Amino acid sequence: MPDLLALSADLPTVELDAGEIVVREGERTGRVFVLEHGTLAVSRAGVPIAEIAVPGALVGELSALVGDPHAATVIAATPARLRVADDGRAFLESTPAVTLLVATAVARRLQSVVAYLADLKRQYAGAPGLDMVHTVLSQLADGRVVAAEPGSDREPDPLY
Amino acid sequence: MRLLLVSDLHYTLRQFDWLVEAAPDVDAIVLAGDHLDVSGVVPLDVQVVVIGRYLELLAERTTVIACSGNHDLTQRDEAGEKAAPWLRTSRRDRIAVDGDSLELGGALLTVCPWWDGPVQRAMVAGQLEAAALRGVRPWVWVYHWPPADSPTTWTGSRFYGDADLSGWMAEHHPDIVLAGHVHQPPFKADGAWADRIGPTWVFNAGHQIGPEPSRVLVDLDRNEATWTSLLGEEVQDLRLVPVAPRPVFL
Repeated sequence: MPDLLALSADLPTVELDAGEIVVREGERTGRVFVLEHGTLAVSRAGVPIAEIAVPGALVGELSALVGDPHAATVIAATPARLRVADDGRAFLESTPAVTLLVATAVARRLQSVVAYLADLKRQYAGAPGLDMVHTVLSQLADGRVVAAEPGSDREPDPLY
Repeated sequence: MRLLLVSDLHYTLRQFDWLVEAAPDVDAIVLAGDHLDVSGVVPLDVQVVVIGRYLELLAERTTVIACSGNHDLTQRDEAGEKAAPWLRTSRRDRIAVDGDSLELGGALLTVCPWWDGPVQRAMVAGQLEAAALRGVRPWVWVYHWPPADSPTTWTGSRFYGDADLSGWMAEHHPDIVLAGHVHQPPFKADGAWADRIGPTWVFNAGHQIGPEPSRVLVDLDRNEATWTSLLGEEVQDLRLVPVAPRPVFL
């Protein structure tokens, strides 16, 4: 299956300097962005949430899907180039491949939440610490968690 | 000043809970890497969110100093080397992370990232050179992997230390290195939680199961370090030579 970079090749691009805003929390733009290169910083209510640096990562897709204002502010942390779809929803509907990629990303987030909750039940048994569940779920629901690539090249042995 | 060293908690949430309770009693908590568990059932990107929240909870109670370990790497950087960008994102008031050097209680604490390639290694070397120029003593390094040939790296069958750290220690002569990575040394015959290499004390609290982490409390005012684990408690006077390694789990 082609990735979003390949599927968005026809979109116009925008160059951003470090510090420029991609989307602002609370605004409703309808735009969807696809990151070509650079690093984006995501914050909500002034609190840093995540960084996005993976080429092909989407910005604004949840807002375009559900029609709500952007739930977070995204700023270029470094010089960055993004592809922009002014009508984000139309882009998400443009081909089944695009829709499937977005659905897959959302499903992955849901899998993460389920795995997290199941492990909580295993590790805790009514012990303190569950207070943070709401906070953690909120951050996961923001969908800004970048899929991790675990492991070390220098120390490949996971026993250490 | 009292520094509480733990490492290799590997997403053991009860041990993080214990730390939250213990935090108000010390001037700083040092987490010397491997906060995450690459072999865990929870995806690493989810673990990052949970541990980030724990760092915030700890910082509400004391100063937090956290370096990355090999389990904490989640992305490749621009040089193509594995890195832990999430930990740098966690930096804020009272949370010092990879790349930071902070003065606390009259000491200088330098927080070194896990380096996974030549570019990052050069950055660590530069970080240490820059911190050395500040001339503050005591100088404490937080570095995930203890130095080569130290009993703090004894697995029970071999020494498993970091020769690069040994070289930097020989160059800069830090007063204390707070480390982890190798889980077994304090629990093994011929292993140790404390070692003295030239002028430098090296500590590795090891890793244990259960709700409490094994830990080392370094009291710079009393010149004393105390290791606490399931085996009990041992004390090292930092003005004396290290206590002899002792058989515990044979």
